[in-house]
Amino acid sequence: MFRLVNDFKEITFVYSSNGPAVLQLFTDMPGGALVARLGAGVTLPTSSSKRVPITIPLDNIRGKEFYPLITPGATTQFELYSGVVYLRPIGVYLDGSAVPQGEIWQTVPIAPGAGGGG
Amino acid sequence: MGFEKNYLFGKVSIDLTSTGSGVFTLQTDVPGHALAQTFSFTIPSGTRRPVSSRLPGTMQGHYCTAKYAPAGGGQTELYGVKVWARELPTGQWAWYVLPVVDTPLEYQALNLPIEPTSTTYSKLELPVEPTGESYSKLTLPVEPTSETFSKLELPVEPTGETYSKLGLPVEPTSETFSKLELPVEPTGETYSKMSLPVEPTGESYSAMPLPIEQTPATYSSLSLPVEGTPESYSQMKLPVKSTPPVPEWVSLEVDD
Repeated sequence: MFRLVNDFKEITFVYSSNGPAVLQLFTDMPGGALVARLGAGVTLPTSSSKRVPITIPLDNIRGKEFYPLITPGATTQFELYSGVVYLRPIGVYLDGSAVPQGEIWQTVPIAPGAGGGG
Repeated sequence: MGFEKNYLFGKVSIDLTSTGSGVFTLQTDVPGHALAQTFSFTIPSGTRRPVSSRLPGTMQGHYCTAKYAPAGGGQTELYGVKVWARELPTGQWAWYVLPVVDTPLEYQALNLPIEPTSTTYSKLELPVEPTGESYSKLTLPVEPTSETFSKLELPVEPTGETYSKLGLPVEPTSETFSKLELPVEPTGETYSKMSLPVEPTGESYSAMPLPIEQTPATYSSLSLPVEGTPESYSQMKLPVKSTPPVPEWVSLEVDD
C-alpha cells in the first residue's frame, strides 16, 4: 500500500526522571532505511518535578516510518507518561534515489477547459 | 466540457522544494494528434519556492500532460503546478491548476503508543497465603516400612562358566623399523646475535647507600649481665684439702 511521506514538526513528551536521558528519532526517508535523524541525539534533562512536558523541534525531518528512542543515563530512572508527534503528510514526495530510476510525478492528459480552471 | 477547445499556453509555475535538480516537461497534442513534448526545462535544487517559466509562444493543445523527474537523485517535494493558458481564439488568460496531491497546511498530532499511567493508586493484593486459625495435619513424606522383607537383587554380574579371551591393550610391535624424528632443533646456517643479560652501565654515578646503621642521637640503656647480690649470705665451701688422719704410733722392738 502506498504510504505518504510525512513532514515532522516536533515531538512532545511528558516525563519524570532523576537524571539525563537522550532522545533519538529514526525515520526511513530519505534513503528508505530507518536512520537516526537527530545527530548524536537530544538530551532530555533531569525533570524538575513530576510529569514535565518537553517539546523538541524536528526541522526538515521526513519519513514514512519512524520510531523514537529514549536512552536513560546509567543511573537514571525515566518515567514516560505520554508522547505526541506533530506531522503532516506531503502530497507529492519524489525520491530520486529510489531504485531503479527514481520516482517521478506525471499527470494524465488534461483538457484545461474541462474543469479545474482557475 | 472543454476538451474540444484548443488552448494556447503562456507560462507555467511550479511550487516545490528539492535537494537535487530535476527536469520539468510538458506535452501537448498540437500540432498533430498525438501528445508530444513541447517544453522542457531544468529546475535546480533549492528550498521551497515557486519556479516559473515562459512557454513557447506557439505551444497549443487540447490536452497537456506535465511531468517532473529528479535528474540526479535527491528528494523533491511538489506542492503545486499550474499553467497560464487561454482558449483559442478569443478566450481570456487564466491559471489552470494541475492535479497535485494536496499537502495540508496544518500539522496533526499523532499520539505515541505509550500506555497511560493511572492517576490513582490501585489496590494490589500481595500473594501471601493466609495463616490458618487452627492447625492442620501434615503428613510427612516418609514411606512406610514394609512388614515383610522383600528380595533385593544385588547388581553382581554372574560369573561365566567358561573362560573368555581378554585382549590386553598392548600395541603390536611392528615388524619393520620406522623412522622417528628426534625433537632436536636444526642448527642455523648463520650465526645469530644473542644479547647477554648484562645491564648497561649508566652514564652518570648514582648514590648507593651503605648498610651502616645510624648512630642514634640519644643514649639508650644497656643492661650488663651482672648477677644481682643476694640479700643473705650463702654457704660456700672452700677448696681446702682435708687433713689426713695421724697414724697411730707403733712400738717396734729393735735389736740391740
